[in-house]
Amino acid sequence: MFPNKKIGGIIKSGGLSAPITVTWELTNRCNLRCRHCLSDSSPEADIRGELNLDEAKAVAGQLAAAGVFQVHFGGGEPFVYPGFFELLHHCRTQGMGCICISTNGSLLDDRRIGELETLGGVYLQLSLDGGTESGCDAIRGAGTFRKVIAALERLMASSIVRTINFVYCRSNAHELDDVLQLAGKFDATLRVTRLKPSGRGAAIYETMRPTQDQLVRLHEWLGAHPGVLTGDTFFHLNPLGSTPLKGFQFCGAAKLTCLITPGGDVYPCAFTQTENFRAGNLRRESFLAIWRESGVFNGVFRAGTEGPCGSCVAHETCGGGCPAVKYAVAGRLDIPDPDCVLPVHLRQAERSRPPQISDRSSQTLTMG
Amino acid sequence: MDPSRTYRLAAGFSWRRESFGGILFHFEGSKPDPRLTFVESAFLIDLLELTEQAPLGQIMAEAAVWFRLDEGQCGAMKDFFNTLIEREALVPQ
Repeated sequence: MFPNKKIGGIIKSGGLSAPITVTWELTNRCNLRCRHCLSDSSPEADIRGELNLDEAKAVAGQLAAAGVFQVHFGGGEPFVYPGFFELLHHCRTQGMGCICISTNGSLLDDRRIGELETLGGVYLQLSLDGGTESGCDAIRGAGTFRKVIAALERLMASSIVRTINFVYCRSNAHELDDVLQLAGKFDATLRVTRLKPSGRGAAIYETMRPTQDQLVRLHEWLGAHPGVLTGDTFFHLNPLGSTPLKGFQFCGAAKLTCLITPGGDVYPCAFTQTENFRAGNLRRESFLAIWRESGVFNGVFRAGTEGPCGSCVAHETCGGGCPAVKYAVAGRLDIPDPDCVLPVHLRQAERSRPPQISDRSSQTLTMG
Repeated sequence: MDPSRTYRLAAGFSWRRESFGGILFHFEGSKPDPRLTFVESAFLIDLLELTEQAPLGQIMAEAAVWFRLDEGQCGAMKDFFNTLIEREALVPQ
């Protein structure tokens, strides 16, 4: 088996036969209109051209046949997709072992919770961007906080595993402890991600992105709360500490995961939905053909890090940051992650300082 | 490890082959994030596939003879199965 630090090399050198997990934005329709929505979803979103249920079932069959371990449904709000539960059952009958659903939580009534529990093997990610009503609703809209809390209360009677997903922004950075307390109250795990300039998030990025001080404080906070999940969102903060944050130390887009849009387009991740990163479309090509043969996937996303990050002393611990944020901000990938907190003089240092990476010999990784 | 037993993959575990060997995926149902185990050896994945068909001790003994495994290789094979059993990834049938 491989120790953790070799896994990046394995994936980069040969590539996996299929993704570990696929994020699937089923629809752009959503009953909310959050200020920072990464997919620009809303109640009025144009859903012409979205995959219908039969097409979606065929895609689910392809994913299962390819050996994809997990599908992560999002949107928009997946519970407004017509036939969503039929699609979930289809995934299960096709052998998909693990289904994750990202939801705003407002439509999680007892009937839906009961159906999910019956289905089994499902976990929920509920968005809550504040530990207080005012903090959350300033971002997600009036009344949202109370709806999510009501859903979390209903979920307490179920065995469905859930996380509270918190997007770390300038305006809610001070509410981390509050939202962690809520997570504990509702038997949920807290997952923190950072605001990225995608969808409507692009328009507010400069005014809402966390400050450098907030990011540094966040690193300390995450270090003090190892039970909090971060995904691959904050690996650019790893050079700050003696121990890297949990999870992978590199971007998983096109290596471990990819994105399917409502119209069947395939991209490296949810934050790279620009024409030059479109790897293919499932109405015209098979999923595996796109995953294995796409020039987009086999190009920059599976190559080494471009630009100054590739030669930075911290590269081994942060993997070069998030390509999506780089491209959204500058239209190019050969720049440092715009949220990089490492002082410039250290970025340019020779590789004389030993990288601050712990020799974690564990062979099993949490996909936090 | 009980070498006289056959074993199966526990609920929540699945695996697939890769060019370097294989990957085990584990969603245990009580924690939100699945876990991955990268297995470097296609040989070990082959053996893993056999655990439902014959007692584990027999599989390891026959593998050692047929493939002329040295002491170190036999130890690695045993460690592999021990680890999976300790993690309750493999459970007796």
